Amino acid sequence: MRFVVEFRHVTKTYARTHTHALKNVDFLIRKGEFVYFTGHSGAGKSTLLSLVLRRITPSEGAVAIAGQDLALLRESQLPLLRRRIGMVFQDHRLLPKLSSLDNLTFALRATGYRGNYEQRALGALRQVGLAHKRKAYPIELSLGEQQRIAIARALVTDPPLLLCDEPTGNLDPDTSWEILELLNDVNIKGTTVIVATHSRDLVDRLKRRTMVLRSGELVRDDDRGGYSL
Amino acid sequence: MYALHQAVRAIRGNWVASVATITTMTLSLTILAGFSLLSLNLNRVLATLQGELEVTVFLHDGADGGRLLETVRSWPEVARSEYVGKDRNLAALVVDIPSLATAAQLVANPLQDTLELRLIDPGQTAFVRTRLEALPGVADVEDGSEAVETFLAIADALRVVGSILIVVLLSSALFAIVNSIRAAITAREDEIEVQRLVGATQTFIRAPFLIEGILLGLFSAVITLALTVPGYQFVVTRLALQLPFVPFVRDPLLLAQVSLLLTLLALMVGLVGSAISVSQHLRERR
Repeated sequence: MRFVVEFRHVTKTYARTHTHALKNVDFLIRKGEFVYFTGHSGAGKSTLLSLVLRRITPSEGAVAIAGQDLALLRESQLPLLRRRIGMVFQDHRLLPKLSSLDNLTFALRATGYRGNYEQRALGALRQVGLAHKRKAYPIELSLGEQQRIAIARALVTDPPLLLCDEPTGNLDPDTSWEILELLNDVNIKGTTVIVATHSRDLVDRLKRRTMVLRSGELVRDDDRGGYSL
Repeated sequence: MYALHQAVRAIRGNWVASVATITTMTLSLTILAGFSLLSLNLNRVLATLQGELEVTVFLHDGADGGRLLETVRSWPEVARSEYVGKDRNLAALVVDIPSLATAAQLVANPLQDTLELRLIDPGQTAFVRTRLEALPGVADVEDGSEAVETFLAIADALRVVGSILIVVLLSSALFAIVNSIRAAITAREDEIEVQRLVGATQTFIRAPFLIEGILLGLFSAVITLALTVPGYQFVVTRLALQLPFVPFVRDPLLLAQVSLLLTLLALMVGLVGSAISVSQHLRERR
């Protein structure tokens, strides 16, 4: 499948608040791409990622992942979709009572993985350079390390698509750059990466395809990258 | 196995809510068990009374007792029948009340010849009585149906009260489970969110909560039986000494059946309560 993510004239309106989060958004993302979605807070970035995960459904238009129209997915098929999408949040959402390794094995167990949990989880921790912190609890890790563990958790099921919602939102510039380099490495190894961010520095430093959202509208789609709203 | 482990972990982690739920359920089940045993005993007494119910037909002087006996024996409702002459009736009376022996020798026998009948179905008493009263030579008919009707009325009232009580008690037990599971879901919201995001199936997410409900029901049933069974045996042993003529239910098989039913009921309440909570609070919003 050539296109990993397809948005066809997608509009999302939150009926309760009458908010138009996305307006007629139309784009294609190819396999292996690294794409930024940028824009101010409230521009629609998180709504867009929620649509990809089918946590919400579009009011108009269609969203397809790997050629599969998400509107046609049955409720029981959602887990299979989500196993193919890794998700990283600004607040990492690690489980505080579990060690780094257990946070990863928890995710593996939930997806019904049948191999050796620990071996697989350790592999993912190595990928983010934190195998030596496998026994540490989230509170014992720096913010940057916590985010790396969250990325390892998203990658532990080896998904072809990785979504990151403000992955550097809580981090200092140097740590943000480390996280970005890590995401770039993941992309180089073949995973399609979508990063939603409002960080100008990030987008300007590692130039990749950039789509700019403004009040729910896609106002720019630039393969050369760079912020410039 | 993982779901069971998670359920046990949740019960221990949320032990205050779990203890409160088990206490509520145990109380409800204990009252329910008490009512069931009371009802069983009352039914047993009623059945014994009905089984021993006899219809006595008093005959006019000179009535043809033999012919009347032949007639009633041909009726399908009659299980047993016997002709008892007035001399035998007097002799029986003297056996019951020995002080009458002297008086019986002084006056003529004032008693009547009778037919003693036992029916196949005591419920047919009123019908048979009407037929008997229509026969020539029958002076009067007596049966114990009034006492039975009183008992039946008590049993019916008990059944109605019991049914209402069952609904109220089971509802309170159900709501206790619903609340407990809701608390468990709230306590594990973060975990559930992660499970959803990484692609856990609904079954995987829901199973620990359903098992938790079943376990809470099981624990409650075990405690209830541990209290009720020895308690009942103690009470019945004491009462049997005071009231030896009452046929108390002591059949171990019957008590085992009651225990099994109570356990199944508790498991069902646990499962239904947790299913309600899970369907309310684990629905994915869109």
